[in-house]
Amino acid sequence: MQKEKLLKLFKKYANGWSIALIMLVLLIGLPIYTLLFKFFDGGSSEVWNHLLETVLSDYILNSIGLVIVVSILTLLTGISTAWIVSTCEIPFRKHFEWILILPLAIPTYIAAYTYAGIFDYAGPIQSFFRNIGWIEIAYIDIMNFWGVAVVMSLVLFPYVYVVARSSFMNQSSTLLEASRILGSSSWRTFFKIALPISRPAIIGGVSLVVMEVLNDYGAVKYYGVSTFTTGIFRAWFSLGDPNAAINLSGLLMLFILLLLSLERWQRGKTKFDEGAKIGRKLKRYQLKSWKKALAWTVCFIPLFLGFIAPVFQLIIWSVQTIQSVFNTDFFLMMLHSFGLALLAAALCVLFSVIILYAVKIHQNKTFNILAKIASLGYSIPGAVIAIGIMIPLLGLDKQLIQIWKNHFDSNIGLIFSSTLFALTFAYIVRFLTVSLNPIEAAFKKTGTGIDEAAHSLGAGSMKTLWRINIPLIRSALFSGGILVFVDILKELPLTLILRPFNFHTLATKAYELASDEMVAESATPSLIIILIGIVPIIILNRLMKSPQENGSIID
Amino acid sequence: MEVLSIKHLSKKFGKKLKYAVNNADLTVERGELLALVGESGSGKTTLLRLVAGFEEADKGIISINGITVVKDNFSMKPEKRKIGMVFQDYALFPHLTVAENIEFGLNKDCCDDKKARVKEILEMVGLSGFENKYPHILSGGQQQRVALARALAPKPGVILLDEPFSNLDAVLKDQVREEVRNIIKKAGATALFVTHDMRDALSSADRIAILKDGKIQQVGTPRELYDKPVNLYVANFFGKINAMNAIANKGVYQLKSGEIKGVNSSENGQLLIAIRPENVEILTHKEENSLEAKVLLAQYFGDHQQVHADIGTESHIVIHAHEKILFQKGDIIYLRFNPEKIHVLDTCWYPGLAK
Repeated sequence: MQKEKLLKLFKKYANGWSIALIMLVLLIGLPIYTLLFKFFDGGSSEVWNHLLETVLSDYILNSIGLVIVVSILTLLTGISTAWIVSTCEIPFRKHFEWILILPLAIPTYIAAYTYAGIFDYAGPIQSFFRNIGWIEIAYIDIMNFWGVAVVMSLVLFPYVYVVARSSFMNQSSTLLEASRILGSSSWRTFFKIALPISRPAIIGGVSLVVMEVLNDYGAVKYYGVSTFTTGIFRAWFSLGDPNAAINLSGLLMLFILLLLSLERWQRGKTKFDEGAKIGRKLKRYQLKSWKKALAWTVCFIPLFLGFIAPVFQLIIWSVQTIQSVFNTDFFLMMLHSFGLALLAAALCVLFSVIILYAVKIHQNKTFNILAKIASLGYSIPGAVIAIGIMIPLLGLDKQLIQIWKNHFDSNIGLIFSSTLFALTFAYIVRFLTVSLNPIEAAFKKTGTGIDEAAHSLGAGSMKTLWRINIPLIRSALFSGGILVFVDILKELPLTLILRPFNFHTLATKAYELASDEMVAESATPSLIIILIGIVPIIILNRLMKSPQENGSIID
Repeated sequence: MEVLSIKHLSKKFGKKLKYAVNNADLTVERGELLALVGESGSGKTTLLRLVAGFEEADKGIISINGITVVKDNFSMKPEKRKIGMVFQDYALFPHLTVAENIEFGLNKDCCDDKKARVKEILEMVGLSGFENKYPHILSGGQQQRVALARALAPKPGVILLDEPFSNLDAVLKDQVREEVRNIIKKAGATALFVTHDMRDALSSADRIAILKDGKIQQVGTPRELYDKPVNLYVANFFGKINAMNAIANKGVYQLKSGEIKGVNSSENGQLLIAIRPENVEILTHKEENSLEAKVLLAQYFGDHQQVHADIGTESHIVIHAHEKILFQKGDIIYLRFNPEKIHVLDTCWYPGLAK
């Protein structure tokens, strides 16, 4: 009896799809297991003990401090702009709605050195003050903790803005009307009704900000603020101590897993849903002259500082330096960068389809959880993933070299680590979620009915996938691929650690130029990254177009 | 004494040619329940939202308890108008408990002891003990009573209800209508509610105002509207009515085929007359003041028969007969119109009030 049952289970689940799923999850989870295992294994070293005694508290305090300050700043900016855009009538409101997302196209490290350049001795601000003779205030130093916190907030606030806006738009307009008719001013309505209802969504948005802050290496390094990430780089490159790097990475990862579960918990604790929705257009506040001007300014300042000013400065620099920057080498570097991103994006899409189709076929809880594990990578900082991949691959290479030496008496060199293989692998680990999400949504939309219909007509699972599912989810595959592609082009810390010697992507090139005091020269690759980064924003904006836009007014 | 008074109120949306509300006049007396009835697009919801302050009027005056809230370019903010409102989707605040929802609108002006008021009003709507429950676990009927309690709690001058019964299923509806009416009456509130369903209006309202194309067609008690509709539109709202062209002359209505005698009418000339199906009597033999007719269709409904007959007028006559005899297509019958129940309709939509 028992045996029969087992055999039945085996027959049901032992097929190509489930094996592929399990293999993929094992592979993608590799850096996470490695770090957890090594971390609790208690690997310690002199360097680690030294770090523990001296700088670790700095790392922790700076990282947590940045997380808190940037969260507060992005919440203030994101929520106020979202509220104004969703409920008030201001000039160019329709344009503000999507333009306010644009700062997201500027990676934190590019914003960091652009602002450093703007406030530099030779930059426009200091030159201006010197020219009008205000020497005393001409010297403004932003290369510190507060500087990096503000600069990061300027480009990260759209994470909060996007979720807050869609949550405000989705709230039934009658809730706000109900509050007003019960005698509440618009301020009380905002704080007592709109904000509490949007809280879970907004915390979801700010948690993305937190992940970005913890992931950042370029900006904090440039401004000389020591955080976990800079610590990992220092341990790995300068001190050459893998154990210290592992321990730092493990600590950071645990911290993030803790934050993630806190976020889940606050979501689960919610005792309400957003309520019934009625397709009535929100009656926007018609603001009087000075209030209107104030509301407009509140929206314009973050846009100006987060996008217009840095891009304008980059364009000026780019025009000045493009002749010396744009040569054959640069063009080849771009080809490499695009090619690698394209390859990794295609693999991400392919693996997403395999994982999700396996889940769809089996409709099984365990498989669902496995798929969730495969999507953990996005919340883990790139530097941590890089270390988690480097350690096992280095071990593997050492073994291979030894075996090769024993048999052929020659050195084959590193095959996996410090090659494009390691880099591609790491990109997939980190960005698989980005393609998983839209493809999962598309699979959900198609439902299981059509699969059953295909099977009843004699099609096997492969044919059903190829002929039925793929054509139906084509646009999701495409947008998932684009999102991954752009994320990889922007990626910095992971690439810096894992890239083969002398291999450059647009991001590492821009960063290297900026670090070598050639901020103006870095403008061209930076602008290319920003321009490409605008593409997924347009996709995102189309996805979040609210259906309420078409609501009728009468009855 | 009138609590709500609306004078010459008009509203147009954007650059549309049509008025959403067109020169509306309406008063609601203290303690009265008035229903605004109309098809979708008739402007009834717009009228309600103008009173609430969610839309701004183009012209006209609205006053509540003697205080002018809308006049010329002045429009008092919704939160200042001291109005209660029950929304179609109830709009209960999902993150607040039942008690917190009700307490939300309470201030010192209305009640010294907020907790006591919450308790009192919950008792009134029959939801004592639900204080700490969240809205989403309540049934549709319970949610509605919470919404009503929340609107009534601050003792508003007038409460507005937007399609209060449209979210309920048919079984609940009858029960809830009665409850809502009782609660409003018990609270001594004055209420204006919007509905597209005539039965909602007939069963719960004291008076009814019928809107079409932004114009108020007629305001009156259900009885007045049923018996004395001013035009065909109002008449048709309450079910079938037979309308015919007639020429009146000294107490006689001359139809296309035959005449009806003994009418008590001072009017002469071309008229549009109407009579309800139950006010037409079917005779099997020709008698005094009856018209010959041919049965076109007879449908049996158990308690009555609906007979369609042709008397040579432009359209068929529909009769609700309670006789035991079952009529059949092709039968020749004789119809007697109760002269007292014949009503003269306006031939065009009547813009004013029937007073």
